[in-house]
Amino acid sequence: MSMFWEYSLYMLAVVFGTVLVNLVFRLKPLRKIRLLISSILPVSLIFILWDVLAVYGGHWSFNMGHMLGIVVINQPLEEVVFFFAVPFYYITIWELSKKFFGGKK
Amino acid sequence: MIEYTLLCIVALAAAYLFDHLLKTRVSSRRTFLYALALALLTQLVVDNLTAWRGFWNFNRDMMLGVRVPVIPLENLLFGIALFYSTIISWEFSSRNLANVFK
Repeated sequence: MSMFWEYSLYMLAVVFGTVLVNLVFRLKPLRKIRLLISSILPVSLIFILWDVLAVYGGHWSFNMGHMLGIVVINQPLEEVVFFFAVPFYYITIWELSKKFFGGKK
Repeated sequence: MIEYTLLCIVALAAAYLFDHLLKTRVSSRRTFLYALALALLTQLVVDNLTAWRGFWNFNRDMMLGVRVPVIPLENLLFGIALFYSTIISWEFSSRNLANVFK
């Protein structure tokens, strides 16, 4: 059975859930969207480069049966989206934990 | 060669170095551990789900061979490195670029 939509569904769920958490708790990341993008971008590029080299080096490969089939260099589109969606999630839980446990320190 | 394992260690060391060079020092804050715990918990669930579904083919020659319980241990280190780097970048930008990006 073809499950080509599976990985993109997970990524949509991550983005949707993260946006929701931002809205519910009125967190900074979504309110400072340009700051968010500018801080995610350099990290994304480094880790995408790592992923590209790892695939070239044969560390791992993708099973395209679970993906849309759009390939950027040697990465499925969903994997590229991963490196933007997941940092957004990470920053959100960081801000969330600052809000609830943090204070200044 | 356990290249994936070594790359993870290099990435973590580099992140630690940047955390101090950029004076963000996020890893010494208690909130770092709470957020990291949540990040790892999520990764354990989602990564193992996707690995079980057969998204990835891992080359066992490039890693230690320790599985937690399905994904390679190195995937967790990769996740920690991504988390750590992202938080450093976010805190650095928040402190130093807040006026640039209103």
